[in-house]
Parts: sequence; structure tokens; C-alpha cells
Amino acid sequence: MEQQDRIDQLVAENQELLALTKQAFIKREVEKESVPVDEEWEKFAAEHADELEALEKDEPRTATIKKLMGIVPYKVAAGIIGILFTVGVAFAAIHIVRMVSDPKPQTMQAEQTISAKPTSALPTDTVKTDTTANVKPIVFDNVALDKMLPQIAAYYHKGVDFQNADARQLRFYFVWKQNETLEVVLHRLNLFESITIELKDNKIVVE
Amino acid sequence: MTKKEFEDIYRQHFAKMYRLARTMLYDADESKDVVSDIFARLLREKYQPQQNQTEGYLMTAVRNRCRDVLNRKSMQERVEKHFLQESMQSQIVSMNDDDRLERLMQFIEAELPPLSQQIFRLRFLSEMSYEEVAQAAGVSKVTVYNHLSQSVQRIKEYFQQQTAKR
Repeated sequence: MEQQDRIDQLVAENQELLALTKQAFIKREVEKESVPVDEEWEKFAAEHADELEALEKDEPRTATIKKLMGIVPYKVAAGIIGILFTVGVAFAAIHIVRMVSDPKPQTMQAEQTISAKPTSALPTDTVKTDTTANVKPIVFDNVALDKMLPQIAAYYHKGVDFQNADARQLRFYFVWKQNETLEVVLHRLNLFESITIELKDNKIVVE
Repeated sequence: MTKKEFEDIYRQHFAKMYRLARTMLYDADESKDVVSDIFARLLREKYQPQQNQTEGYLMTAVRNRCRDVLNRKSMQERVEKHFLQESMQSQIVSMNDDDRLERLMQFIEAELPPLSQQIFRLRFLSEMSYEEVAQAAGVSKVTVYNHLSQSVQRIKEYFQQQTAKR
């Protein structure tokens, strides 16, 4: 029995040795062989065409999810920045609207105060200054005089008389502050060399 | 995983997987089938290993698959290959096997006469009888026998040395 075990062991050892040697030889042989990868791939792709196509169809969804996963932190950050920015802009806009709309009641109040208490010590200058600060100037950008002047004249309840027809088409860049007196406005218009404007008999005369 | 990514993995790993299957199964067609089966399963399960683990995963799959194939083989083949399975069971990383076989082959190439190597190939790889080997190598049957027994003896000594080193 013991002898049989010994023989078995020897056979086993020889077998292992042979098998390993065979493997070593084959390994060397296979290394020298060129493996027909292209051919095998073509065969495989043909056999599994449907599954490969399915892979392609599945991909867009998974790819999108993957891509989303990849950039989520940036997206979140960008989202937060976006929200903050929007809130900031909105806040600023509300603030500006308030600044602009608030003066009106103030002016009204000032007028009411004036009319209610004509003797009030409130100096007209102060009212004016307030108004000055709050009235938005009108900008005439490259506007013809015959368009610009009637607007200004109408505001001051005056007429316009173009004695110099050529002057009608002259164009100017002019900033008109409505709280300025007509005299001041005309004076500033007169600073333009090409025109002379005077106030005569309730009419603005362009010479 | 896109079709392109799958194809890249296939092309990148096919040769190495095939070679491993060949050293375990010997048969080229069987080896191709094993590799093909593994890729088919990968495709079916839509499993994508981590990039740096792909090779390890695929090689382990080849090893397991080859074991399954060997288990289904006839008793005779199993006896011969059983020991390989046993000795490979503990080896997880393919490199270890590769190294072991590589060292053995280097020893054979350096230490055994070319005629001995040729006779060994004909006898065990081409699975010829002594008579056929003698004819193919152009030597007598006695010479075939002598070369084979000498080869086996040298290889045995080599293994003993290796075992002693450990």
C-alpha cells in the first residue's frame, strides 16, 4: 500500500513536470505565433452584432448620466453662482427703481408743503436742488434741431421760430436737464458755434 | 461602455488572454472559444471593470474558464492537466505563472541540446509515437528514448533546485 502511494506520487510528480514543460514549450510557441486579433474581432462582432448595437443605444443614456455625475459639482457651483447673481441683479434693480420712483412723492410733498405753507421757511433752492438730483436728463444724441427744439419749447410753453431754415437740419448732441431754466438751456445751446438762439416774445427764435 | 470602448478592450487583451488559454488548454480553437466566451459574457452582463483592473479581471476569467473546460475533459487529459490546475489554484496573478514558465523555458533553451528540444516537442506537443518521432527527427527509436529520458532527468533536477531555493 505504501509502495503504491510512493509510485502514485512519483507518477504525479512526473506528470506535473511533463505538463509544466509542455506548457513552457507552448508558451514559447504561442509567443512566436501572431494572434489574428483583427480576424477574431470581425468574427466576434458579426456573431454579437445585436448586443454590440444595443450597447451603442444604451450608451447615450448612461453616458449622459456619467457625464452629469462628472460635472455635478461644477453644475451645482455654477447654479449657486447663477442664483446669487440673479438675486443680486434683481435686488439692485429693485433698489434703483425705488430710488427713481421715490423722488416723485418727495417732490409732490415739497410742492404741497409749499402750497400749504407759502410762508414756510423752506427755501425754493432746496426744492430745486432735490429736484435737480432726481430728474433724469434727456439726451439728444445726433438729433436735428427742428426735432429737439420744439420738445424743449413745449416743455417751457414757448413757440419756435426758425428764421434760419438751414439751422433746422443741424444735428447736435445735447443733454437737456428739465430742471434747468429756459435761459440756461438756451445759453448752453448757444455755446454751439453754428447757431444763435434767442427768446423773443414767448418764442424761441433761431437765427 | 460604447461599442468602440468594448472593441478597444477586446483588441488590447485578446492576444494575452488567448496565449494564457493556449498554455492551459494547448488547443488553439478551444482557446479562442474560451476567450470569445468571456467577451460574450462581458457584453451580455454589460460589466465594465475598472480600467486598471481590466487585465487582472480578464486573465482570472480565462483561468477559471479553462479550468471548467479541463473539468469536462476525459479522465486521461484531466490526469495530465490536473496538476497544473492544482499548482495554478494558488496563483492569482497571471504574471507569476508566466514567470515560472518563462524561467523553465529559459533553462530548457540554455541547457538542453537542440535535438532534445525537438524530440520533446514532437513527442509531447505533436503527440507523436516514439516511432513517428524517430522518423521525423531522422534518428533511431533508441536515440529518441535516450533524449527524452535525459531531458526529463534534467528538468527534474531543475525543479529540485527550484524547490530547494524556496
